[in-house]
Amino acid sequence: MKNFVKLVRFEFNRFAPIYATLAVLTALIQLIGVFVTTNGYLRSVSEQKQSGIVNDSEIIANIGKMGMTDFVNSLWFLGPIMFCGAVLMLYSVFIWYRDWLGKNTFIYRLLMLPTQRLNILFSKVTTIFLMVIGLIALQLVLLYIENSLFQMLLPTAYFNYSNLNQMIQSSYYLMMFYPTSGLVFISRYSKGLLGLLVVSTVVLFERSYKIKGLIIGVAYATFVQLIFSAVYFMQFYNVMLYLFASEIFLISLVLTVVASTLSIWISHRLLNKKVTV
Amino acid sequence: MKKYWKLITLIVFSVISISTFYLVTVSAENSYPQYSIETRSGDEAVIKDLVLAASTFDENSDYGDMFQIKTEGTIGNKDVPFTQQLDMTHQHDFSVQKLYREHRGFFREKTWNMFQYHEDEDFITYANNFYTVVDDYEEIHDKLEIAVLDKKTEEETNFEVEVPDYKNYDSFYVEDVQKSGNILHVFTTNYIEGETELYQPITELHVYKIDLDSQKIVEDLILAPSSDDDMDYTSYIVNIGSTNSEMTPEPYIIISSNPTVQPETTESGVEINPEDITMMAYNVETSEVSELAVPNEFKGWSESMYPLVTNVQDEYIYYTTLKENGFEMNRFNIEENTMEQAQLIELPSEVMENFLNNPEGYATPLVSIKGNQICYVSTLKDKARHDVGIVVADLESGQVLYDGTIKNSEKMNDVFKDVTLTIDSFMF
Repeated sequence: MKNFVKLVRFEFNRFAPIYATLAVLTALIQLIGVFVTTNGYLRSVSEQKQSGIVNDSEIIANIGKMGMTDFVNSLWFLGPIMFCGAVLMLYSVFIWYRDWLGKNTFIYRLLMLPTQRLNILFSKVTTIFLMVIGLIALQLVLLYIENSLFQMLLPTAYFNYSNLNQMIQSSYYLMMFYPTSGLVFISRYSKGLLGLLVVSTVVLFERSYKIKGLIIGVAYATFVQLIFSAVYFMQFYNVMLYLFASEIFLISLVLTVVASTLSIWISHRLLNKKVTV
Repeated sequence: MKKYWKLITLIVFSVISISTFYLVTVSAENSYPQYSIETRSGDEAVIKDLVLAASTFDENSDYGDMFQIKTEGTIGNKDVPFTQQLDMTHQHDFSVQKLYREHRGFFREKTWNMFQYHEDEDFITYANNFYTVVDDYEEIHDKLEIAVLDKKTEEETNFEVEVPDYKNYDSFYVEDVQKSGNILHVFTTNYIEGETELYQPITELHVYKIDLDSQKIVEDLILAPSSDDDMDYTSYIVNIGSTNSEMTPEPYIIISSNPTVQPETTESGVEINPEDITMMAYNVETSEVSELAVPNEFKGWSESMYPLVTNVQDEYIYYTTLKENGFEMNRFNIEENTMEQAQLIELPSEVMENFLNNPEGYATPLVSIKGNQICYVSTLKDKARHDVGIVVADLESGQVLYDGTIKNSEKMNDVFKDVTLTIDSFMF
């Protein structure tokens, strides 16, 4: 356990500067977006007044109010989130290859450590997962800050106040990141964790068997994807829903555990017996 | 420990932030509006079984939600077990919730339209158009799928029957299901081949009588034809939407056959002369069809007849007319084929305001009859001072037993106080 924690710290510290930059950039771009959006809206209000409409309620009837429920679907808000997601997805692969392709073949040192080799897999997957959760938590705080900023910058009559639930419900992407139930949150992010495990397994296949391994790895990833999709496809093509949503949820939980166990087992065998430096 | 400060900070920040969100922010009070029922007069025990299915909409945030309101308060997503949250049955008809709770296996792979079900003491029966593939809508769907559940043994029987003369029709839909003895009566609206694309489609109302023993259609009755020498018709079953529970047996199915006049555009309306409307009653036990001598001012279909609401209950058709001083009740006796004397359920004008002064689309109150009690619920509460009113009266004496309104509860979060509340249906 101690070795696992040390490895996580090591992996995290390697990427910490870039991670901190991502967090700061997200906050900055979204906060700038609040200012830009507010200015644009207030300009529209001025234009309405210049055209002779002085009544607040008439102006609101023409251009609507402004608040977070509009902002969360804008590029200022979603752009940084998508960028962070893309960077972390790329890093989930690069976290392995940097150890092989660097100036000094660092993976050699990692594989020679007096610890179970599976800790290498767990530490890399855990690091990425913690970074994702960290950004998710940061976004919650930013939602509060941005809402307060809108409230400060906009006149009361034009500010559309919404609570955190309403902000989330007005964006498809936020509803994906923050499901309304804690249990669904755990289930959804467990699938994310499974995704990281599968990506790591694909990388280890490639590192063990090169091109042939890459093909096997991609086939394995496709197989896992198909198993999960099968339950949903069955519902889609059979108009009368045989399985209730709660039953699909349970089945997908079980499949997540089974697929995760399978990925860990395959990665364990590859790390111990097949991976070459 | 010092070496781990970055990692520890990240973990602690994430745990606190996300768990606060799920423990506090996603609580019931913060997720949807909280309402309570306030009594103005009468005994609250009268409405102890009242359940209102409600929905809200906030035009500023595009926020909307569905939940139930009872005397105990608001029952929403956070107040039901996790599996029901996922299946969302609490947002559907009360009959859906009953089937889901008591006969889940039978409910599997079936629609959630309760008019396609019939329940008596021993059986639950279901009828549907038979189709399996969502993108194969052009395939001919000329079969009825029937399912029968024996409530004592939990045995389910399934079979299909082919609808006769299907070539004359474009499509058909199951509107209601009734049962007498071993005969299933499946009421369908059949769209005439080639006439579906008109502004007002030409339809025929059928009842297919199916023998549950032989599993065959024994009779195909056209209750309301699509046309005669003079004109085309569109027909409706008046019972739909006017009963307390869609699954309970009804001795009479009331049909309104309206002449169809094609409007010039989709926006232009059409005036129909009530004298040309034919009202009929189908006796489920005997399969007899009789024309009803309903006065012209009560003819038609309830949704278009504001301020008139129609309810079919046993052998009566009840007509509720909204007046400034109360509800005028007219009762048509189907067996005697006569309209009985009107009765006024008197209410003060401030109560009737909730039922009369609503914008278009919310005007028709909901009315339901249980035994000798009648319950009226107005359907809109918004920031323009419309309130949801609840009135329960005795049908025989006309005495008002209960009068109340829906108010924002003390637990109501400020962000919801101006949302528009609509009552979609209720049970009492």
